[in-house]
Amino acid sequence: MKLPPYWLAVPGIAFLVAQHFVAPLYGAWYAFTDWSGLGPATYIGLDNFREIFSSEVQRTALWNTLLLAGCFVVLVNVGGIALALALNRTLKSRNYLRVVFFAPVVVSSLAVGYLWRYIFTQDGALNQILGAVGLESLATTWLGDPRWALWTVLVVMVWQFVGEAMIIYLAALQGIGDELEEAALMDGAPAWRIVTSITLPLLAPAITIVSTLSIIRGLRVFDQVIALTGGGPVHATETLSTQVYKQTFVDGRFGYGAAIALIMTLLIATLAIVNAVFFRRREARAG
Amino acid sequence: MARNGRFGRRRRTWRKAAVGALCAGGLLAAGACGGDDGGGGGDGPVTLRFIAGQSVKLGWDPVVETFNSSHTDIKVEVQYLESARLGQLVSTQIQAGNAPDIVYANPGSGGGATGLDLYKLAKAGQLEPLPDEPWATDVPDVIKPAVTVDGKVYGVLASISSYGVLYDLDALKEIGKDVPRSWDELIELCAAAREHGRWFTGSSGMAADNRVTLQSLAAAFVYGPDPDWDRKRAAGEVTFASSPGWRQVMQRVKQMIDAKCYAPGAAGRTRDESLKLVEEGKTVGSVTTSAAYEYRRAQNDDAPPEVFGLAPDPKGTIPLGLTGLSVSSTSDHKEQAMEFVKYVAEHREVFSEPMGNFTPEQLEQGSLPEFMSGLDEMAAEGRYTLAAGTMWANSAVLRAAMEQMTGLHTGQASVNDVLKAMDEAWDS
Repeated sequence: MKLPPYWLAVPGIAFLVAQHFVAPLYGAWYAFTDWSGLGPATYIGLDNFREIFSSEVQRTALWNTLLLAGCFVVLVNVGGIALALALNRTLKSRNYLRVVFFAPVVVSSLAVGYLWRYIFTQDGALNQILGAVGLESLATTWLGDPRWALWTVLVVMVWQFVGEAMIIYLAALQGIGDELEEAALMDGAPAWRIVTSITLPLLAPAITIVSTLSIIRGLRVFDQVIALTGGGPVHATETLSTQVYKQTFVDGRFGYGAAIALIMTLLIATLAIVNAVFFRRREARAG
Repeated sequence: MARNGRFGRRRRTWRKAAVGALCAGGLLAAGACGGDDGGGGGDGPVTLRFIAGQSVKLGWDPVVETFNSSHTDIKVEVQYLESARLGQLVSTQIQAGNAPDIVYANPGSGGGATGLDLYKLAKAGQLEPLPDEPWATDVPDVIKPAVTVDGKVYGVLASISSYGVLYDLDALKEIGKDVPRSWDELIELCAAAREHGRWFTGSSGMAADNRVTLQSLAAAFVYGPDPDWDRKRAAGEVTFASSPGWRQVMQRVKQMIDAKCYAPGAAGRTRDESLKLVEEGKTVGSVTTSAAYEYRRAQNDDAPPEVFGLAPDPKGTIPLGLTGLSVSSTSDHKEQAMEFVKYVAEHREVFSEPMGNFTPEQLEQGSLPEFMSGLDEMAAEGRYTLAAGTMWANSAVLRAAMEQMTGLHTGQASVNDVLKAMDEAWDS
């Protein structure tokens, strides 16, 4: 079979390189400038990075980002696997429930954030429910309390994306033959042993995918924070993404914002690669 | 024969695909290069692009409508966006060389609600200087620095608003109190409101409402005693932390929090949720911009009667919030854009009346809108100043204050912390 001429791929490759590499690299250059968004940019070396690492706000944003991403990865994986196992084949209503759990994934994160605002606000559904069951002492200003605000963001993130993990795990479970579990059952293995020794090892490729996707999503969380807390109270829910936005578009410090974005990009790339390599090795050992 | 065979057909298929791809690319390029020139090339009217904040739609709609109907050769097309997005979009368009013909720039250097400050844009050469004619230059002296950069006027003043408290007259009557005339009376009003199942204010302790609180209090405790404070700060003669006035502003906020003037949950409440508390009749007043008066009436025909008051202090001044318009220096239709801003300057009442704002003439004559008539005397005496932030070094100072003030509600920040953060943002 004669292959099409190679030159036909040139426009596509050029577009790919321009889109994926040239533009971000050109943008990264601004991280080393004091560009205000208007007029020329002046090269200032590593000044932006020095300011970032000496800024308490940026350190808080970095810590919050890592904390949110870490908890998000764990909870989405655990929740996704639990839902997938529960809805794999036992329940009659499993198809309806799968739709219900997956539905939030297709909704805009910003819309989800605003929806949950009404639940977490002072007069919102959560405090009303707590009051109705006699637990009004637990009612608080969820979004305005620095002890709780970050966790409310996490709850919304997990609520929205646990369905996506569930679908990936369900697809993986469909590929696991019944004969392995049946054999283990006949040998008298308890259910927990079947899950830990058969199901989870065979789910390893899916765990790699879900972990990698969720670590990337967790590290670049923005919509939920903006909709729920705006990064407050007093930076308690600030993340690297919200700082990129505020420094760049609110304060007009495009160079400084680009420096934070560059750090964020490197962080996401590094952690995603480390995560993927770690889980691939585990897969290899399990296989 | 081969040309008519399988391989020949495949080669022709690939050629067609390549030509198709090139055509598609060409069309895209043509689309990118051949954008709308604003309608100036044909016989129809010249179209001017103008992007404004959603919150000022009430005012701009009638201005644009009357202008378009009286100028058949020019058509202004206005697009409304939420304030935060407006700054982002217009900044991006300016960087791309596609700025709107009419720029909704905030007079001054402090950024304003959209982050598009007139000083920054003018110094970057993005704004066209206005002609040295009365319609452009004839504004009160206190306002001139906010629209003038290096001796040239870059913005026309469309209207003025203020920052203070909108009092619900029915609620005040219900609890047997009047608009407070002193700080002690205001704190007493908080307690009286609670005794009647209300709160003094449902205003938010989040950033957006903190800005209004700060601007209202600063007009009384900072700019009243020392109208020249901004210049002194710029010259390094004073700092926020070293100024008794600024310390007093933050202490007053703390005092209001401690006196339970705010409805519970202020630190996590948005402006919309605050408005809901007002509509439910759970408050006596709301710390807000004077423009909220007409906005509420546009939203709700049954809104209760309200009057506007300032932070009560004998040395107080009226804080002035400015709405301005500028012409883009890169516009292809500067002459027509200039015609529009001139029209705005000569018909300020068309914008101001539906907004509940006022004109410079009303300010100088002491004839403010009816709901603000309690301030007429102060206005006639010339006791007004630019709102805090208008002439500050950058927008980060106001943002630092707005964010840190939430900490006064949550216990995350002290008065010193807020003032220190403002100084750091100024000097950064």
